[in-house]
Formats: sequence, structure tokens, C-alpha cells
Amino acid sequence: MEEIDTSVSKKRSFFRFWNQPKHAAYLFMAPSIIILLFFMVIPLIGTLGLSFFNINIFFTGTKFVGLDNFVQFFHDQRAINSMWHTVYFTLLETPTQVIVGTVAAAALSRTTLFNRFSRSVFYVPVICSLTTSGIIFSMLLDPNIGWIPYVLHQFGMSTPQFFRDASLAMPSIAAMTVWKNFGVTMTIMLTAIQAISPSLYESAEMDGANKQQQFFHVTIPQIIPSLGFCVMTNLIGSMQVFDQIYVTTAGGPEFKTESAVQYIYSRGFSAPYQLGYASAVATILFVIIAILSVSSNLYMSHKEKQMR
Amino acid sequence: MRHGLMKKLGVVAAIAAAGVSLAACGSSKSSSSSSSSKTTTITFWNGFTSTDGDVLKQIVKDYNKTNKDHVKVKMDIMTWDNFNQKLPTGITAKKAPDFVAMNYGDMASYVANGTMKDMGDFYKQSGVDKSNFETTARNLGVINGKTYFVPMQVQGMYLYWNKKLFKKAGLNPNNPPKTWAELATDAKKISKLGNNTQGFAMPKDGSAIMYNLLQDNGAKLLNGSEKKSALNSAATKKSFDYLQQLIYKDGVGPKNISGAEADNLMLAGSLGLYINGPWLNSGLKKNNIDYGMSTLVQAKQGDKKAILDGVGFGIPTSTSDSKTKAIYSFVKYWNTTKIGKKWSLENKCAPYLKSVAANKDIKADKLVSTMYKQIGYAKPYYPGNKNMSNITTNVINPSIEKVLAGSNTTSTMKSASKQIDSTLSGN
Repeated sequence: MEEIDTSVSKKRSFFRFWNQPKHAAYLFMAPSIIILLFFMVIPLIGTLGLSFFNINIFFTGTKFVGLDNFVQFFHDQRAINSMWHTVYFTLLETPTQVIVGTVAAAALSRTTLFNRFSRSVFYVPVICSLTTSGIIFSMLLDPNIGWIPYVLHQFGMSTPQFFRDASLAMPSIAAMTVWKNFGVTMTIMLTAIQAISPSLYESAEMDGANKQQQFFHVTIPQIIPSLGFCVMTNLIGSMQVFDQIYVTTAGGPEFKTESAVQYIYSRGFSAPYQLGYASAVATILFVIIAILSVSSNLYMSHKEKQMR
Repeated sequence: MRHGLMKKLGVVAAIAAAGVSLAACGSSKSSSSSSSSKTTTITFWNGFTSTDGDVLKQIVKDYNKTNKDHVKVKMDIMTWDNFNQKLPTGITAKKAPDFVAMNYGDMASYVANGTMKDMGDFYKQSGVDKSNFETTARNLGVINGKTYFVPMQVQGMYLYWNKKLFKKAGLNPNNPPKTWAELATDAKKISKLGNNTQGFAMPKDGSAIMYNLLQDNGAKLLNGSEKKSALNSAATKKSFDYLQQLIYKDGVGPKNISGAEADNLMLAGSLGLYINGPWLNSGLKKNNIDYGMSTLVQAKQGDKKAILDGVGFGIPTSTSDSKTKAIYSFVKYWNTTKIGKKWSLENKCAPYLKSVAANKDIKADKLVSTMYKQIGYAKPYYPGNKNMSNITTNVINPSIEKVLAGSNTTSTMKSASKQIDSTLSGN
């Protein structure tokens, strides 16, 4: 009888412990933490570990090489170029997407039937996969069979080689990515804009501010935290650009659109299967992204404080 | 972009994930499902996604129904790109299929890493007549004196021409070009037809065409010991100049086009001349294109040079001996006259079994007999060299792209040669 009492009281104290909000929070976080641990933290540590080895994908002939793979990166012109291409893509894509998303959100912030319809339409590309979008754009822009070059040709205009011209290929990929993803930015900014108190606009209007002034002096300062979030997540996403390039140009012409992730992929997962070297480049990319993310976060926090 | 975030840290995670999976699966056996009572199930990966895949499916189905060795082949067909991505990680994670069909050019790097079984004893099986195989076809699978794959299909690059466009351009549709020079002349005439008609397409990833052109002009990729590049030569320069003149300067075809895009042009009937493998036949027939196919053009009339390519059956080292026996049963079935004939006729492939080549239906088929003629003198290109796949992807294809885009051919050649040396030295 005494034993049963002890077991019941143990159970009760167990439930009581996890019922407290400060402890229950860990239970709610546990699934995410476990997923992050197994699919992010452990692989990241694994990547760092592999980068110190000369190792191929078959895990044969493994040899510890210390920092040699990192040194090799600085002598590998194609690897360095791939980093620059990634930065170029990020500079094209991130500001454009944030601007387009914010302007669209501001324009569609009032709840009318037309605006609601437009929001849904702009969000449709988000639910398509990047691979599908890439294939669609490749066909639309193909100089031989594409619809857009055909229409341009009908108007007597020359046919641009969107994905085949070295100077046009990266802007074309960036434009496609903006089209595909700006719906997400728009939705976040829309929520932020709709949360702004109408009294602020009324006051601004009473002070004689026109729509443009209201946008820059009322809307923007109020949505800085959301703007910061969008800039940071877009920045991280752009630095990892892969699918759309793989599908549309495969890194060409002449490696001019080869991104860092694509280079890592080609080194590690196709002949010569240099997993160690690919891991070293991945580690370098990780550090660059971390620096950029922290810097942009600090800058946006600073801006937010200034605006207040 | 945002919700791709976790997934997109992708390659970083995936690279290490290979390690994680390896650790996790370190002690597991091959994933292939095994038998109920006496049936042995063997898994088979390949990249025959086109109409050839349908023929292959039928053959596997017939084998599963009729074989008396209680073997069931479970086949997974994927694109070759997918295949080449999945197989290495599959092997590392001990999730490889029991056997595969793969290109002989890709086989060498697997062999170099000790991931493929020696299949030499296949030819000692009862009912297998080693002498029935063409020696060149059999030798495609030989690396360092050991047999790592048994032929499944042999192929080469052939000349295709659109007869309708030939007629329009005032050319004889029954007299295709025999030399590279004639090809250039005919292509120029066709490209002048206008209305988006192209004379000849050289894909930027057209290494197979490039290797044939180099070989025809007497250029060599590697030296005798295959330890140094031999690309830096007058013959290579001549080949690069020829392509640049044809595409970049004379504009007889698109400058920056992939193999798949060039295939589409030919299939759409807007390309006059093209060089490709036998797989193009089915699409051309399906699209009712009035076309012809002949042996590859040569540097000089009367020359007989071509590269022999092929796909063969290979077995990863993870496959057990009992399953190897079951695989041999299927491979033996494949290499019978009946199946060889079916595969050759339905897919328009050159036969590599002497008994198939001697068959009257094969001899009566114009396309197949033309291909067989070329197979007779074609030779494999640096067989068994584990660096070929890397050199093709990372040196030759980018060089083709540069040549077609108008870059200086001498500097492109020198730079490619240096890169090959660097690849061969392992840097």
C-alpha cells in the first residue's frame, strides 16, 4: 500500500514539475531543438570536422590534412569567383525583393476585394517549387522556343539571350527569384503595416504630410523590426542560392553564374568527389553568412533604436 | 527563400549528413529486399528514362515471369543525373542497389575507390559464350586487367541530318557530308534558310563530339602514360578553330546551347545537321522528322575513326555473393541473342554480340547496320582512366563553351592543358 502511494506521489510531482510554465516551455521547444540538433548542429559540426581531412564521398583514402583545404580555397580561382557571384546575386536579389515586397504591401494594405485578390495572386509563386519556376522561366525565355523572345521578335526587337548571355544571366535569375519569393516579404510587411495605429497617419495628415511623406516618415519607422527580419532572412537565403541556378543555367555561361553552394555541390557530389574540400568551402561560406547576418542584425537594431 | 532556410543550409548539412548516415548505417546490410522462401530479389538502378526505358521494363518483366532461377529484378529508373548523384551516397551509406547499369566512363572512379566487384567470373558461367562478345565491347569493362562490368549496350556518336532542310537548301538529301569540312559547307547553306533554321548545333556540353573531332584531327588529350596532358598541340588548335569558325564566326548554329536544347531543335525540325548518340532516333521517328543517319564524319574521306562508348552492368561491393549469382542469371538472360536483337531493333542500338549481328533482321535494318559498321572500327577513349569524368566536366566542357563564345583558342587550349595536368597530379 505504501509502495503504491509512493509511486502515485512520484507521478504527481513529475506532472506538477512539467506543468509549471517555465518547465513546460522546454517541452514545447523540445521537438524543434531535437530537429535542429540532428539536422543542423550535428551536420554542421560534422562538416567542420570533414574540412580538416582529405576525404572523398566513398570515405576511402582518408587523410588528415589540417588547414590545407582552407589554404587551397584561397588558391582556387573558381571557388573565389563562385563566392563573388553569390555576393552579386545577393546584392541584386535582397534589396529588390525587400523593396518590391514592401511597396506591394503598402499598396495593398487596405482591405478591399481587389487588394485581397491581388495578395493571393502575388502569393501563388511562393507555393511553387523553385525548380518548377526555374523550368518555366527557362522555357519562357528560351531564345529559340520561348514565348517572351517570340513576342519581342514580333515587335521587331532583338531577342536577348537571358540565361545564355554572361551579363544578363545573373540579373535574370535574380529577377526570377524576386518574382518567386516577394509574396513572403509582402505578407510579413503587410502584417506589420496593418498593425500601425491609424492615429499616426491621422496626425501626420493633420500636420500636412502627403502620402509619400507618410510612407517614409510613418510607415517605414514603424515597420523597421519586420524590415530587419526580412533583410536578414533574405540575405541568408540569397547567400545559399542553388536550385534556380542549377535548373536555369547550371552555373554557366562559363561559370559566370556558379554560386558558392553550387560549387560546393559539384566538388563534393560529382567527380572528383572531394568531400573534405567541399566541406572546407562550406565552412567558409557558413562563416561569411554568419558575419553578414550578425552585422545586418546589429545594424537594423541600431536603426530601430534611432527611429524610436 | 525564407522557408527554404533550414533545407537550404542544405549542402553544408548534406555533406555532413552523408557522414551521419554512414555512422548510422555502418552495420546495416544492403537495403534490397530479399526473398520469400526461395525467390531472390535483386535491386537494379539505371538511367534509361526515355523510350528505351519502356523496352527495358518489358524485358525485366519477361525475365521476372520466365526465369527458372527464382530471381526477381526490382528496377528503379531515374535520370542519369540523378543516378550519378544517388549512387555515390548510396554506396557510402550502404544503401546501394544490388547492381547498376552505368556508363563505362563513370565506372573508373568507382573502381579506383574499390566500390565495384570484379565480374570476371561471369564469363566462366555455364551458358555464357565469351567468344560471342565483340572484344572491344567486352574490353570496355576491363580496368587494370579485371572485368568490372559486362556490356549492356554499346554506342557511338553518329551524324543525323534533316532531309527536308537539305532539300530546301538545295543539297542532296541522300548524300550527307562525309568530312568535317563538308559538314561546315552544308551547315552554312542550311543556316541561310532563315526562319530560325540552324545549320549545325555544337552543344556547350558536347564533349563526346569534341573528343571525336580531336581524335579525327590527330589531337591527343593525354600522353602515353596518361600522367600528363597532351592537349597543347597544333591539332587541338585546329579543332578548336574549326568549331569557333563554324559557330561563333560563321554563325551556323546557336552559340550557347546545351545538349538537351540542341536535341529539341533537331526534334523540332529546325536543325539541319547534328551529331548525337542512337537515342535520338526514337524522338525523331515519333516527331515524324524526315531524317537520315550515317557514320560519323571524318577528317579525311576514307578515314575510319570513332569513339566507342557503352553502358554495362556493374555490381557494388556491398552486394552479397548469393545475390551476385542471381544478378549473373539476369545478365546472362540479357546477353542472349533474343534479347540482344530486341534491344538493338527496338532502340536502334548497334549489337555487340556476334550472334545478334549475324541475324538477318538486324542486317536488314538500315540504321542498326550503319551503327554496327561504325562499332567495327570505333575504339574506347582512355578506358579505365579514373580522371576522365572530372576532366570532361570541369575542363573540356567549359573549354568548349569558351571556344563557342569566341575566346582566344590558343589561350583556352593552354589553360585547359594546365588544368588537366593539375587534375592528373591530384590538385
